[in-house]
Amino acid sequence: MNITLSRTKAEYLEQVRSRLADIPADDLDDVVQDLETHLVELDDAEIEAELGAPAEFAREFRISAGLEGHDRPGRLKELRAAAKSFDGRIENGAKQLADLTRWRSIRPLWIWIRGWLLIGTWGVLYYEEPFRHFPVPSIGYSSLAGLVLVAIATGLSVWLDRAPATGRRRVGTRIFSVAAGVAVIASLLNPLPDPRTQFIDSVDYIDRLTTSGGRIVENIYAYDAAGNPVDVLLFDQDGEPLLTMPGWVYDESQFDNGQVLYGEGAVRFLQDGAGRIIPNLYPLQILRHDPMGALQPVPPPSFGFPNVTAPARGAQTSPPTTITSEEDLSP
Amino acid sequence: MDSTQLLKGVLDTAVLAVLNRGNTYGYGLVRQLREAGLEEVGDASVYGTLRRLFGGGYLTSEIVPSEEGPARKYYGLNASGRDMLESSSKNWCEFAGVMNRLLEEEEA
Repeated sequence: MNITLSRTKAEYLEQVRSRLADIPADDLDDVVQDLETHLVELDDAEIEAELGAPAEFAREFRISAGLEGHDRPGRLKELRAAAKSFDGRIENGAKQLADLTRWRSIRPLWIWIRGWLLIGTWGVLYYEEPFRHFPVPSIGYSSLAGLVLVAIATGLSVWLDRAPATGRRRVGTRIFSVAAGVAVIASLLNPLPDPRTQFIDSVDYIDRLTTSGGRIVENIYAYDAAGNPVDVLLFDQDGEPLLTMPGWVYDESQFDNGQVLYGEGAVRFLQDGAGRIIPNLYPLQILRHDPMGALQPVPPPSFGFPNVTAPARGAQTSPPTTITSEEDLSP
Repeated sequence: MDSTQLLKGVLDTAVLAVLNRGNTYGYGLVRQLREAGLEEVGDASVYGTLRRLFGGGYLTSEIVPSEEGPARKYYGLNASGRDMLESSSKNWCEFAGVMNRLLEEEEA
């Protein structure tokens, strides 16, 4: 049965532990365990009257245990003692947190969260936004892997909770405690994107080309009179390049050898002899991730080429002969 | 009686004698020593003595779950411990006999 000591008792135990941190680990574990069972039997106010101050307890223990030679720890041992003390504080904090959740009768939820945090920590360390895929963290871009690992971690968390924290289980409990702490700190340092940021992104779409039905024009396909696809450079009425992508796509700082990640894939621009991209050469080379995660070119649309009459030779600047409505409407 | 100084020399024997009655854990051992009349015994001294005797190979230990608190480490005597207790008892009886005779002669 796990018992969480009061703050006074935990601090007393911790002080004794830190003062004996240089003795052999087995001896330290044993005396701490003996002392913990003793403290459970005492009221907070009785501790020092019964056991003496922590320093006195530690000194008396050293003498009677024949460990006087360990009472002057060197620098390395002091560091080791400090590390053990820190570790003990983490363990105490975890115990108190566990006790708090038990008090609120949501201990099973805590055990589940502890397992989830262990996996979520790796997401925090290796991916920028692991919590976006809550409740299943995506591991290696795989929700299935995340689900399996969370299930394993949860089972381990339950197993650790079923027996006294000794030996390997103590190590496991500490891993969970540290992982949970790192996950919380990392998530605080790397918060989810502010929803308002997404709203500002959407403003970018307002200035983009749309069809008469309001759909955003992403790419433009041009054909010659024979129905063969052709590459074209497009400009507006003022001679400015005609662009279909959001403005940030043309930011040169985004480019990786003429390619920029966009939406669920990427846009690959052709470059001129000076290495500058040609932003208005259509159709754009748009790529999408296939199921294996590789970028593949988006194929051209499959609609049938419209049956129009070829323009007269030498009349490239005039409207096609079949489209003469403008002339017909002229006054 | 202030037995603090005397205890330092015989605490090992006292601890072995209590454990010879049956296995017990640290706090239980402290209580039995005090109930026996050794009220000045220091808790830390008992725990230190336990560690030293255990490290010397005279005791067994076993972790037993408890319904009332954390798991307890129960200590008991092994063969070496019982031999040590027998030897210590013999030495103590001889020493006590000498002291008794000295004090009786003093009173006479």
